[in-house]
Amino acid sequence: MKSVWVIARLSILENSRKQVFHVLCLIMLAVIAGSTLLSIFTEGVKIKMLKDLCMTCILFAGAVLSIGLASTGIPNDIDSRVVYPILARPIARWHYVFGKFLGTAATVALAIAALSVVFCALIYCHQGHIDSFLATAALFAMLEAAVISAVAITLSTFTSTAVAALLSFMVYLFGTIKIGYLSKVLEKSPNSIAKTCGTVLYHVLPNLECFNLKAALVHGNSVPISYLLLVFSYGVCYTAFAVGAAALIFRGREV
Amino acid sequence: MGRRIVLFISTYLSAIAAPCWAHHAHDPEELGHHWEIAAYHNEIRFQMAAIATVFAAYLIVVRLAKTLRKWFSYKC
Repeated sequence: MKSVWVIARLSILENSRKQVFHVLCLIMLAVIAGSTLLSIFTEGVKIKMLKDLCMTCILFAGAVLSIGLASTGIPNDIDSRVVYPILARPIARWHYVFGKFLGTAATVALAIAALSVVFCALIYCHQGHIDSFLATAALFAMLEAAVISAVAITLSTFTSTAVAALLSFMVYLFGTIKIGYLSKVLEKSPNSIAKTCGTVLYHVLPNLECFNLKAALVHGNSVPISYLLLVFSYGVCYTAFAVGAAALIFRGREV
Repeated sequence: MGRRIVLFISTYLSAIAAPCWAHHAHDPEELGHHWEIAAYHNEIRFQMAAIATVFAAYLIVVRLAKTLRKWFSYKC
């Protein structure tokens, strides 16, 4: 397992030097910091708007970073031939894939943690205290990012960077509106073949909306612990399944 | 080949999502948060069961293939 940690550490270093990481983090920090300018609203509304905007930024940054970093990792290593000296060593291919995934997920988690700290500071300045639920919301945002990273890595094991990024973005988009819209559209579909194919695709897509706890944070609603545990186990299971599939695909691939 | 796959999938998914505008009218249940809606709970449970089934099926197939390979190598 030592090799997994070495690859993960190298992946974190590699990802943290990418432009997309710096640019996106800076833009999101600017938006979060700029959200304090919402002075036209009354104090209560302002705090709600602040929380809504900041959580949206954190979720979006997590998703975009996951797609940007995970879909480029393995194809770039293959294109630049970095992968050959790694695989020539006594390292199993699944170690490489798992290490890449861990590195990407850790980088995105670091970015989300940095954004959450700024968000916490802003909330403290406005409210005088920090919401205890904020840490939970940030943790589930990290879990969502891990699921998206796992899907992007799976897609990048058999496609090019552009294709993997595009497909991952579509998975993110349709995973977010899955139950709210796709289920209704499929129910009313007149074509039975399209309906069957759509239903299969519907059940394969990850349910990303369940990781979004923005509404609970903004309105101060309580979310049942049983539901949080269910979503947490679902996130871990789906991530493990996607990374396992990536390892299986990469094992059979000629590089 | 990759471009064709992307084109096909994007066209298919766009066709599915195109009539989304017609579904802005929600049922009363859908106005709640997602942790209060049964469809989310059911879908999560269904997907976890499906993942467990696929994993079990994979393990069985691998085990079976191993046994058969051993058996055939012994016979030959």
